[in-house]
Amino acid sequence: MPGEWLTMQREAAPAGEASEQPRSRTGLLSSWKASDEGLSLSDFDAPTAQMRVAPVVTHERITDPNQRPTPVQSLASGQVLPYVSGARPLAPEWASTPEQESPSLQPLAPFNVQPFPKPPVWSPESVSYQSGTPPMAQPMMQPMGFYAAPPRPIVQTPAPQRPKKLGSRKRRFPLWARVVVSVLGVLLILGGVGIGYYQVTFANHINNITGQKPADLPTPPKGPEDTTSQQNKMGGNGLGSQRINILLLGSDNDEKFFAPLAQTDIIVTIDPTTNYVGMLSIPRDLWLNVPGQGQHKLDEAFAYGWQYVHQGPTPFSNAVGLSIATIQQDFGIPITHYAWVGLNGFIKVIDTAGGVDIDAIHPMTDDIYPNDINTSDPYGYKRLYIAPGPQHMDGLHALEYVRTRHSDLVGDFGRSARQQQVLSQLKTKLATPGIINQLPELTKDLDGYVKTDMDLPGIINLMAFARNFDPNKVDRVVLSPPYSTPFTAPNGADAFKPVCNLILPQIAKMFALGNNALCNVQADATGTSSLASSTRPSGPMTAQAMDPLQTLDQMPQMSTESLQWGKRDLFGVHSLLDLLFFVACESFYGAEV
Amino acid sequence: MFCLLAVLALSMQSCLGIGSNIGSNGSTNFKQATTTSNGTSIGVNTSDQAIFKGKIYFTLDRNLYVLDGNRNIKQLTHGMDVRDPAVSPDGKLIAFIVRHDDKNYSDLVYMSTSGGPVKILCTGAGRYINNPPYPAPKSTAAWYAQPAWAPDSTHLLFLSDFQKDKWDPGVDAFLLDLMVFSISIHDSCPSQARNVAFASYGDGGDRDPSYRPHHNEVVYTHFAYDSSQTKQVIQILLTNPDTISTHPQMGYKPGVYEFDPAVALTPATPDLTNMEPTFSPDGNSLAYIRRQDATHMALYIMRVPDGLTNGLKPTPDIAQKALAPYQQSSLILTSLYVSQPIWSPDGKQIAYLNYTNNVFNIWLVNLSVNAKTGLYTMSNNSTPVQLTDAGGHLNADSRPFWTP
Repeated sequence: MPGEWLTMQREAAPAGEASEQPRSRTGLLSSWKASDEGLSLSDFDAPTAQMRVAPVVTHERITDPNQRPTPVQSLASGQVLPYVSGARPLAPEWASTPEQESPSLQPLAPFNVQPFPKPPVWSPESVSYQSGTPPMAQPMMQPMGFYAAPPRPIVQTPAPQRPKKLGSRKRRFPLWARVVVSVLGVLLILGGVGIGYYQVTFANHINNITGQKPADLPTPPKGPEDTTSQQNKMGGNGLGSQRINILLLGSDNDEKFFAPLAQTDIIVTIDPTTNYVGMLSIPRDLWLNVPGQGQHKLDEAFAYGWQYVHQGPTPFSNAVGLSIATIQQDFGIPITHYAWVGLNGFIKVIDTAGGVDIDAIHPMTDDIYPNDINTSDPYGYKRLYIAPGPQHMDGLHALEYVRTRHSDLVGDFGRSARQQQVLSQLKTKLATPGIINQLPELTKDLDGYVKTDMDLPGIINLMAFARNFDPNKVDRVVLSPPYSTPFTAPNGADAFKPVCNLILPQIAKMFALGNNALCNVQADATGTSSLASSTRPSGPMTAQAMDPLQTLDQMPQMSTESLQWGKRDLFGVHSLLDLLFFVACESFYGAEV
Repeated sequence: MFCLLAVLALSMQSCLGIGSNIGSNGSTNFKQATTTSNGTSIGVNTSDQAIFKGKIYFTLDRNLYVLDGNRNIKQLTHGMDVRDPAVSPDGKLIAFIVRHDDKNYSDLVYMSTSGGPVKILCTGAGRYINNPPYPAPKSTAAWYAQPAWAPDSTHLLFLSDFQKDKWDPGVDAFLLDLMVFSISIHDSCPSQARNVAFASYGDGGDRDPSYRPHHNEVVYTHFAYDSSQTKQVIQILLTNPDTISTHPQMGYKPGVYEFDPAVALTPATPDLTNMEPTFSPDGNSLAYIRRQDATHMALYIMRVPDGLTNGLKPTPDIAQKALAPYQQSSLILTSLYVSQPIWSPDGKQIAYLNYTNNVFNIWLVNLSVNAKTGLYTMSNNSTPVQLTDAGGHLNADSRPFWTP
């Protein structure tokens, strides 16, 4: 019989009796009657998927190999089965006398004798159905030279069987294998869709944000060696074993604005082995020696690099490069990484999230709030009056609320409290399930307003470290008075002059510089200083601009690191947002969004 | 499939706003009142639980609106940044603030309640000028805020920082914040404005001034730091509006060494906030807001005795008498954000701003008063009810107003 064959063992069951009823009747086989087939669920074993099936056909024990097996159907005496060959009917006597043989079964003539194939031995214990060859399907050929009219070949067909039900057909491929292949196929498709979605929706934006190498400009002091090969040797925070110094830059406008200033200049130093974290805030008006440009305010270093330096591939890379060079040359602080934020990004992200609803602690008045957003006057001011109590704030007003410095007497503590309010509310909004739909928009908001030389896994690690670090333990120093004194610069600008004898011990301690600390804030006699080309120390998180394949390679690492820190950080967007707020708020509280 | 989609669409009606008569709290009693040419509309609760009399003034997207007891809403201003409306007791004039944030000042204006031109009473226009020896400039501009009418419908209380340069010349005047003044609408502002209450230093100044009905007293919120200069002390104070201006010899002054005749109705406990006071129409009870913790604010009502502001400065007995009722304050309701309570003209309801489903709306609560003790509670068998469904357009930092 054609069809699929299963390897099965025959259950020991009395002939003619049905096996136990199946426990359930579901699926394609539900039309089976248990009594018909004698099947039960216990007959289906996993994982071998071998079926132990009660026999479909009941056979009597046959001991005489020459005895024709009794067909299932019972026949009245003399009744001929339709499949019986044209052999002469057996005499009833013959049928009942096993020792008599049918003429068709008489031994062959001596010549060209082909012996009959030995019929299989049947027993109740083993009925072996092998694929391809039904039992008794081979015709029993008549011997050559038989003088009588050669009987028609007896083609012994197997006993009639019940129609094969579904499930008992021959299977070319095990079910379990088909399931496994299907699952793998679905996973492959889903993975491909996910990667494709990432590439289309996120990859370009993230590539524009991360791995943005600055121009290498002046000669840095001796700094930490390349620690790429030494990552994660010590400590479990994923930041490597060497100290890292990150320059945080914040500008009022994005990179499309002509020669922006960097109003925020903060250096964060992290010693992963001791978990020491320091933040050195350098006022934007500090009067310094800008390499190759002479004496200027610190925020102008960024603008001059943008406009007048041409060693890097883009004005932005030159701007960052010159800012780094200024810090390294004037203070001896080796910069291993940077992160730049356009403050408009803060506004855009909050607006995308629908604004924030907060309870303003007290009325806020500030007559000299820096009016540096979307204005042609980077040194302009505006007045603020924020009412107390519950209210809705859009991005612009939320930024004013967290940035204002003159609205209370408690300085940075007041700002920190307000930042925590806004960021806490934003965190709640970003934690809603619906934020998944806004991830593309949020990522787009960041593009052009966040740039760093760190790669995405490095950012994830850094922000994870920042989230778990107690902001109250940050060692903060601001180089405002007494570390500087107000004066009128030679060009008539209002600025602050560094007080080196107070600055030197602070930075030596904070950055573990020892005798390498500098306060080299004066230009040479010509009023300029040349730029020497050299390599600056590279840190563990520096990356080249990524191509898609590199991004793909890093996706498992990103996912692992995200999951490791227990945060929902799909595609690293959350960490990028944290970085934005970290810089915009100049605080570790920003990393808790 | 079609049936499934139909069921899905029907169930999402409220989200899609299709034929929506459902408030943000899920109630189906809101009728949509389209109000402006650009289609800004809010829902107004039409159920019996949301019945009120009179008119409530408030702002949506910085435009002034009035909602009456028939659930009709009307827009009163266009194209201005309007805040803090206040209607005169005779019902003829409405005063409010117009902000000019792009120019760093605001104006105190008024107009007829029946509409018409806006008259500027006080303007805060100014500019930045050099301020040697400091590197940063200073501004001659001023803020005006929260007008409140006197019973005579002629004088107004208001907040302003126009005197920031006058006091403590040796101190950074930028931190001298808004204080309480009064002026007649017939006077020249700010030259003829009179000091009513002083502000402390560096904490934003005073807020929420209003007259106590049937008394010559003004109540307001006072923001200050404690003695360590690190924690907030936010209190409700009561003062005589004439004492400072009629007793210059007393040496009253604001700022670092603040000295004024006001008496505290709530304790000076660091990190305790009691604010936004408003007197009942009979002048005997005060509703106010208290911050209970980081996630709860509450509406309270307490009695306020008479005779607290007769002296030139509070005596210990007066101070004790003023603080006594605070401990018997009645808790009316609690929520995440509760603010800006205003009494109904008949004293039986309070309208306030409540924050639910991520938006601010006007809510109503019905009150009962104990005839013996005079203490207010929420009416039996009554719960606060949402009056508006403003869809996020209501300005929660703008004080509303309720008229007969």
